[in-house]
Amino acid sequence: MIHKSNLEDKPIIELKNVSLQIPLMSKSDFSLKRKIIKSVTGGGFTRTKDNSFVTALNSVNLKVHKGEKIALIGHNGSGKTTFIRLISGIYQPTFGSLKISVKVYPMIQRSFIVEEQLTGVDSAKAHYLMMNNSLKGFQSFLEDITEFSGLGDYIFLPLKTYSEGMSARLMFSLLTYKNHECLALDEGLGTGDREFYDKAQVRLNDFLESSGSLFIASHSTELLKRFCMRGIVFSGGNLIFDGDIKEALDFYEKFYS
Amino acid sequence: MRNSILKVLNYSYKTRKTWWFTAIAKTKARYARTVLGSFWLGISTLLTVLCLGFVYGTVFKVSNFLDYFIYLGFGLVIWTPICDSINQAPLIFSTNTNSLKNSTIKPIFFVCQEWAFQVQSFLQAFLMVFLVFLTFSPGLAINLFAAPLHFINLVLFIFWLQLLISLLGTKYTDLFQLLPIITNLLFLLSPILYAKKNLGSFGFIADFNPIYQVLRLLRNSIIYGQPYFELGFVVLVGNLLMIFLSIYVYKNMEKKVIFYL
Repeated sequence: MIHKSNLEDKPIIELKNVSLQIPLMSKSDFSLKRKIIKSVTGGGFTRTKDNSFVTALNSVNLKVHKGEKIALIGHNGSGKTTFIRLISGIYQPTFGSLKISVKVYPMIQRSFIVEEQLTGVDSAKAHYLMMNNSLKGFQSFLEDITEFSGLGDYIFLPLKTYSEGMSARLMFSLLTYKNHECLALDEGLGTGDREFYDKAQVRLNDFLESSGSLFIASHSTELLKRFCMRGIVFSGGNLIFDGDIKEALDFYEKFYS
Repeated sequence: MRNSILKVLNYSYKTRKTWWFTAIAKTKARYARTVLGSFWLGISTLLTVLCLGFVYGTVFKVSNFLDYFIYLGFGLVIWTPICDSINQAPLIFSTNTNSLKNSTIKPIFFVCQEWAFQVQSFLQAFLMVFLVFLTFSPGLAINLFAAPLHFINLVLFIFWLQLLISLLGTKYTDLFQLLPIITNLLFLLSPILYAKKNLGSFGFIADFNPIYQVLRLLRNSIIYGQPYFELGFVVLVGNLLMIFLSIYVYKNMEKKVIFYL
């Protein structure tokens, strides 16, 4: 549980009336031809419908304190992933104020950084460099990844020779190696085959418990109840509930029943 | 403005080991199934020089084939990274869409990665071509000392050109179709296959072609051993200004790039 004194601290994330509008780029927006026509007609050819956008998040107000573990609840397309991208710095708010004093590490549909002709070792090296900007300590990282993923000598083979399960195991091992000050996880991390599942669950539990602050977007009530004490419910880009996890889940069920 | 440019430079510097490594990995991936590996970078240039040299040397009735091969060889080896940078730039962000949308890796990282890939490919190809020509013309070894400034200019030129085109190419997808035509025209209009004097009264085309100016200074400094300090310095200042300008444009578009993908 979060200590009461933390709530009195300055929030690590604070959103005030934050909205995010994602422009809908029509084909004509990418067209040089249309740009040229616009320039010679002095903009008289502009169509207002080209400037349409989707309000992905609408006037969101939220304060998050250090150590809080928050469940992001909502249907697909409700704004959970957009919210994760926003607090991670991938998106910037269109309106409102967003203050973040921690580095939020997003985990959304991750892929290997290197091409699939390269080996698991190359992939691990690129991932390690991306996290640490140096190869110091890489050897022990590689040993841990190889052992935990159970890939053995396959780690020296090109990624394209891996089965889907092997790729998922390697990806899971890479992503859960290091703890983060603030983690934002979108849905579960793929864990590959059944044999690996139990092992992965233990590591995932440790990983999530050890992260300083946590956001989890998931449809798994069990996962959310286990790790989170607070839940926020999204619907159509609006934050419609913010409170205790059980109340949030009840609210969500009632809202959509 | 100064702060935002410094932020981009700082991020690029901090992540330098990663994008340099992923660029090496890209070369490894490209030649993973070949026996000669990245040696192909030099071999392909040498084969092109050999074929084009015989044909165009005969067409232009050159008096000294060795000199012509060297002229053509260095011209082609310098042209290749410029041309590849221009043609590949519009794809830089679209080929990394997943990473851009789902991680905190900034778009400039992928521009640096592609730049490093072009520089590494150029250095490997250049080294091989240079060593082959050195066996026929040992004087080239000393001439190399006249070239460092122009080497720097080439790599800086590729960087800002690629950055600008990648931003424009992401927004205006027609560019990807248009650029190969432009590079083909530029190649034929630049004195690479032929000497500038062959352009006759159209010589001004080469004078106003910035790509050719960068290429010419490096090529001629290696072949003739002339340092061209003044011109090189002017190009250097121009490159630095364009780097600042392109980073400024990048900073304004950095958060919008993701919406075009």
